[in-house]
Amino acid sequence: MTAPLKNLRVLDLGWVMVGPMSGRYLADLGADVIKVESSQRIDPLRTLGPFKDGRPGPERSLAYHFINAGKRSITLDISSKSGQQVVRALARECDIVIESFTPGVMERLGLGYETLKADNPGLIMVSTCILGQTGPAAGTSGVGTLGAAYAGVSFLIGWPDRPPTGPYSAWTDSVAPRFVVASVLAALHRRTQTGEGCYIDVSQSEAGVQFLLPAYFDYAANGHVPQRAGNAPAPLRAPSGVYRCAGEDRWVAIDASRAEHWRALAEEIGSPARDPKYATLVSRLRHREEVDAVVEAWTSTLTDHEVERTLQSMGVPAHVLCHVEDLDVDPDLASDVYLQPIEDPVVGSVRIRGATFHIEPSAPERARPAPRIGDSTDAILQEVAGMSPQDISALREAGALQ
Amino acid sequence: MLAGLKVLEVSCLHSMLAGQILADLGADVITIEPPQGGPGRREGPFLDDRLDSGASLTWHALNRNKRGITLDVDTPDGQDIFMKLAASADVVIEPAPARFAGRLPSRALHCVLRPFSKAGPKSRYAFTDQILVASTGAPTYTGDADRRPVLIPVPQAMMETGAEAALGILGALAARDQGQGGQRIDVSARVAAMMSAFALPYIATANDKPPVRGVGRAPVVGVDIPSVYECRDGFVLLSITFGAFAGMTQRLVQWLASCGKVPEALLDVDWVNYPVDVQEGRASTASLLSIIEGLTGLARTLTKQQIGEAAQKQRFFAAPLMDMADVASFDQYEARSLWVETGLPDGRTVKAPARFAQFSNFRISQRLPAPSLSEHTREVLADLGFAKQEMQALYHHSII
Repeated sequence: MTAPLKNLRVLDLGWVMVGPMSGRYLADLGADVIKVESSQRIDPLRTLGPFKDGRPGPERSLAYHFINAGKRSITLDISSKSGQQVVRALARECDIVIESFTPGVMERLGLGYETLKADNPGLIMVSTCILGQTGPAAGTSGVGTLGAAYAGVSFLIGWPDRPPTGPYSAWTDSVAPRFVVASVLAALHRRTQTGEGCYIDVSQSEAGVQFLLPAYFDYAANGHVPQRAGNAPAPLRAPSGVYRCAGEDRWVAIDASRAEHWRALAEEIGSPARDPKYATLVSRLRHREEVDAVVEAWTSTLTDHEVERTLQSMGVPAHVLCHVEDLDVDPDLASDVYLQPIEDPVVGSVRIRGATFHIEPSAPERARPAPRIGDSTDAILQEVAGMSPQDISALREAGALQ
Repeated sequence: MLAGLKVLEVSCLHSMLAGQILADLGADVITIEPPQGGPGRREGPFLDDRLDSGASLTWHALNRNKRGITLDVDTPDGQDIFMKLAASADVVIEPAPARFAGRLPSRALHCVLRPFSKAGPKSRYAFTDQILVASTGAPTYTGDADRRPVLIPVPQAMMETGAEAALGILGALAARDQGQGGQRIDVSARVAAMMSAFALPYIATANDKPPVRGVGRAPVVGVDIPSVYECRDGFVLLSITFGAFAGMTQRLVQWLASCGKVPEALLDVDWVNYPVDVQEGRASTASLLSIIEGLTGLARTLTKQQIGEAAQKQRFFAAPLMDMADVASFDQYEARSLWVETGLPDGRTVKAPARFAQFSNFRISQRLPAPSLSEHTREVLADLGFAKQEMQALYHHSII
């Protein structure tokens, strides 16, 4: 058995995260993903950490390895006429093209869908940007922090008595690739049956709204505008939230709302948790702050891992709020083969994640390094575009391969 | 896109978005609930404070375009009926522990949703959505520096898992389309949710410094650069960026200067190398502090919409922090036809943001609203050849 997309080729013109992460999903599924880069204007992701040993450098970013694992890289100056011709030649031989420029850029470069489709009628092409390719705000440039603001999540995160803090990192950058890839794979299934290609437009903020549907429906149906809830986002459950543990900035999430879970937790805590006034769910909701204080008085005497182990051994939902060092040594992630070793000439031996799901017997690829800038330029031009060494030299002399 | 693809979804919180993505893309999805209703029907928020099986807005939000049946799949009759349905199904989605492993037709794509790993030390962990989210690492680094970590007040692990399961199923479908036959797909909710942690899992292996909650990466020594500013009617995001994104800051400064909020001399600052220039004494922090002061003052005089429009027009990094009322009235979403009309159990109609993608030759539409409890049981059993009295017997025994 081979990986599901083993015979597919993808031209990845994306940059930063949503486009390239979409390409990574397809690479994990076995596609030959060609990442187009410019050595003159590198993917900004190469300037973002974490960096190996904390020292920045375009080939030292683990974020870049994470998001571009398993791809091949070609350097092209796509602002040049000859660079654009190379893109067309490559797109002619590809099944899927991904791009994440500001709307209109591909058309200005002579690389819009209609042009590429004329060369390759079965092509599936996806464009993704913050607010989509159409509409009055279509020209908006941005990254996932802006997408998060437009989707409505940034407003929802933080404390009711303070300005919003927003989510961790560029939220829609992690949400939108799912909708890009689902759309591409569905289009691929249809193409297998009918031969028909497709153009797909994914707005990253609209994708973000999908992950907030219950909050949206609360407004649409009830007229209620959901607000920030701090660290206790489950108003119908008690105790439920984040509790302080021994040590610096150590926390545990606990949910002991169900009767049997509360009984077990109260038994472990002892007095005053065993007070009959906390015995029912409704009484715990009515005395929520008191109950939280009782729980935290207990958790703060233990380490977060001790709380997790103790409560999980009794079947009570609990987990530490992981710090980066916890993720690195987590035995359950290890069992899932989540982090896999890669070897790279610059960063050496490090670990990045493999595919995010298991498929058997057809198996996704194991984790691989991301390409170095332009590491397969000549091979791609020869194998995919069918160019001769003389053609490639001419392009190089013309400055198109930088 | 997926017309003709038959999906059986044994409903759980983590399956709902998976089924809906496949259904929106054209698959025929039957969601299967126990006779008392699936767990999604007990998830708030609830419609108009109703307390019945049709009240959950989470259910309405995540079960569009599906048919719904009730079936006790732990009874012999329930299993028999399930296997009859599975005989013609392409996809089966179910939560762990899997009831149907090894029993499905060889062409089936069998997706099992787990909270943690399949066989690791946490495989039997008790969980809720926030327990799974806590395990990703993202909340530890979310919130204010002087307070405890915060969480998104909408369950996210269920969304992450559903979306990831849809991808796993579609990847497996591609394998089957290549002639590789049926496939098993295994999705861990924790692993799916770790997408929200971005590069956190690689900081230790990189031997780099972790972030600090509530503190930016501090690219300019000695300056805490805010990103959220108060405006006349709420809050806006205004990003001051350097390096590869310095052009955005240049245009932001142009906007501020045109509004008279910063001196024109700031237009000449090299924002690409500014953090290094400050660190090495070639530039002072005064320019940056002047921008922050200018933004703080200007934002207070403008609305979210005005700042959003200025950013769209002049192309700098800014966006309104929209609440759900703003989302519902955003003219960009309206112009792009994000919405489809959907009916609620009380007879009202609301618009749902269904079109997560726009296709040149396919359109996501609402064929069916989220099913009421057992809405399609009779229809589905009749298609399987069950007689009226047999169905009544199944109902009498609480099997449907």
